[in-house]
Amino acid sequence: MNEMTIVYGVVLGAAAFLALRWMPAGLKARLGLENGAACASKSGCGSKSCDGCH
Amino acid sequence: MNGPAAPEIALVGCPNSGKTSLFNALTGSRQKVANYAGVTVERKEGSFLTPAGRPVKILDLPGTYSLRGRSPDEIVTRDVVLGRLVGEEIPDAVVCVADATNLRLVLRLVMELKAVGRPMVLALNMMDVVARQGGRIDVSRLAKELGIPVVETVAVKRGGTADLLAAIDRLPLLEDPPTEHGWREPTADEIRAAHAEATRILHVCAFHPGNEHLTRRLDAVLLHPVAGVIVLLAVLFLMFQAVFTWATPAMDLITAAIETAGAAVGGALPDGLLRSLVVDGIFAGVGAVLVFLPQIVILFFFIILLEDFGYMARAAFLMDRLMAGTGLHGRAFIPLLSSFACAIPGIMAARVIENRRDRIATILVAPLMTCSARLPVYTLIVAAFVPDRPVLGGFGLQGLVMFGLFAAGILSALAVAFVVKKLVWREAPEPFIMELPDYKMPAPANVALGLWIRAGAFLARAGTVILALMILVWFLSSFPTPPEGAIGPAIDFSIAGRIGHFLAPLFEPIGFNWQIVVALIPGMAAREVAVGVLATVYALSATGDEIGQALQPILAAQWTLPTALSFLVWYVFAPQCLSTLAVVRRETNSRLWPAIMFAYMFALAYAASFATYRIAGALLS
Repeated sequence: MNEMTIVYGVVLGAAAFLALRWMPAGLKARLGLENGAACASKSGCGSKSCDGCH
Repeated sequence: MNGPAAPEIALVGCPNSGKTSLFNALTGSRQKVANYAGVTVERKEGSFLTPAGRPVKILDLPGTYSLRGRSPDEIVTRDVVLGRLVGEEIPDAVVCVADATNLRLVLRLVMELKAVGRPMVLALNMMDVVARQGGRIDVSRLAKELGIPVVETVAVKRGGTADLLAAIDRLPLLEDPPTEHGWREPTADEIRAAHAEATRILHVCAFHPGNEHLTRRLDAVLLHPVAGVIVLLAVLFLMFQAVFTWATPAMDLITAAIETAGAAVGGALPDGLLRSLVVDGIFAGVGAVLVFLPQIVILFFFIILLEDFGYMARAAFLMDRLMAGTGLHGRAFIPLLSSFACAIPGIMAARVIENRRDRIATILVAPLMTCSARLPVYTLIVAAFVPDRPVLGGFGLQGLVMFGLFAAGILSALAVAFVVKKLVWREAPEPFIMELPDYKMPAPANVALGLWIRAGAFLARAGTVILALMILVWFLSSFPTPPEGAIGPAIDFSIAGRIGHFLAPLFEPIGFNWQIVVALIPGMAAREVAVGVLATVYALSATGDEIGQALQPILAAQWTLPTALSFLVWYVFAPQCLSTLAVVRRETNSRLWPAIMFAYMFALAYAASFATYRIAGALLS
């Protein structure tokens, strides 16, 4: 595979990942990506009582 | 309605009763955390198998002292138990968790829950502590008085839930479908009668030794207005010294491992864009953040230990007078303490504050507490610019500066709260009554589990969000490539370089160069990313002998001390986290408060950095 293809693929993948992660819950629900009721926190902040925030 | 295979049990109890430890002991890793629909109260559900092989779902409800819910958390607990919460299954049974060392607190709640009429078990948690204190509870008499099964549990010990599991097996689950209960708020007379009944039951069932036990003796010192504050400061000081000194060997190991892996992978790839992405973007960027794992673990080790020991509630008690002086409610201490991990759970924890203005004041100042994402930034700059030498009788200067940065966060939070509550809203704080749990020896397994969760969260974040951000930063720092015959580092021609140069004049008065400006932008997504961005930007800016150098000596060589101090001060105050602003928007249900928060923090950061840069520059010239 061409080097540029790999590089652009990785960069686009990273951009898509972040866009999906930080998409507002309402928009996600409208797009059918989740039910919108879940916690908006998506990653680990390390808090004992939280599944993550950003 | 529940399916026939897995009945649902609600876990109810007072705050600090060990409810979450019991939930963890029962479910292990079979947990799912989300929010209740429509409200920002955390919902934790898990599952387990009883000894008879029956699958059971269990819901860990927010702590409450009664069904007369006042805060959003308590209202959720009441509504779930009563079967009133829309979208939530009505529990088939209730397990009420009691701190056996503080039985008096829970008896009225037990009587309220019993009146709801669902199958129920009372789990007397921390019975080992009662025994150690020389206390005694007549469990069979208590069961008879209350008219429900009562079992002893020690949630933090292996096998400590065996009796509870057996009792759950004996409950008449799924015999009648649960229905909504028509509970009503009790009258003052009913509350007085319930209190008298609780006192009577306590008198006939429980014996606690006099005031000579360990808790009171320790409290005589730890809650003393002078000695207690000295001990608190000493504990915090020790914590930050340890963060610096204990972590060094592990950090050196991680640095060496990342460098070795980076060199090996880089050596295997031909010169070109892909190699630059892997070496300058991923290894330099993510590696620069990963190296701070030992410090994060040590910081949380102390926090978990102190929390499990029962000291954090004492710290809240000691801080109450100081906080009341600034107009903050006593309940604000726990949200502010949580903000040392991350401002977001701290802001969410402010839900326990009933008065809206008290709650908003707490939310506004929570991001000023030093979250763990600032730690990599502080450590990098302190290690690069503060000499590692002992001062004040053997304390490390670096640890002392770190302590100062944390103290600056706390003091600025109190100062802002003072301005908001005393000068803008001119309100007196409401009285605050808090329960102090008995001291307990922290269970190593619980501490280890807590550290595992936090280390896992940090690594997951490094491997997902930070990795993705670093890839984007590398791309923006590498494209477009310089034109033919161009001289100077390629990054100067890139999108990131141009943005940095464009915005640099705005930050020049506070001593920031264009590389710092570039780091601040993705740092808005996650504070610690700034460290990775600096590593990538300097790696891509490097020429000749500089290539391959670690970030710390590069910064020491290229930044002046006033710039480094200004950068540290910026990070104490700046609104460097978009997620925090998003959560403030959600928690306050308003765009005004996140806007106010951003504006005041930006202004504070800019003014403080400006003053620091100018004063340091004048003193050093």
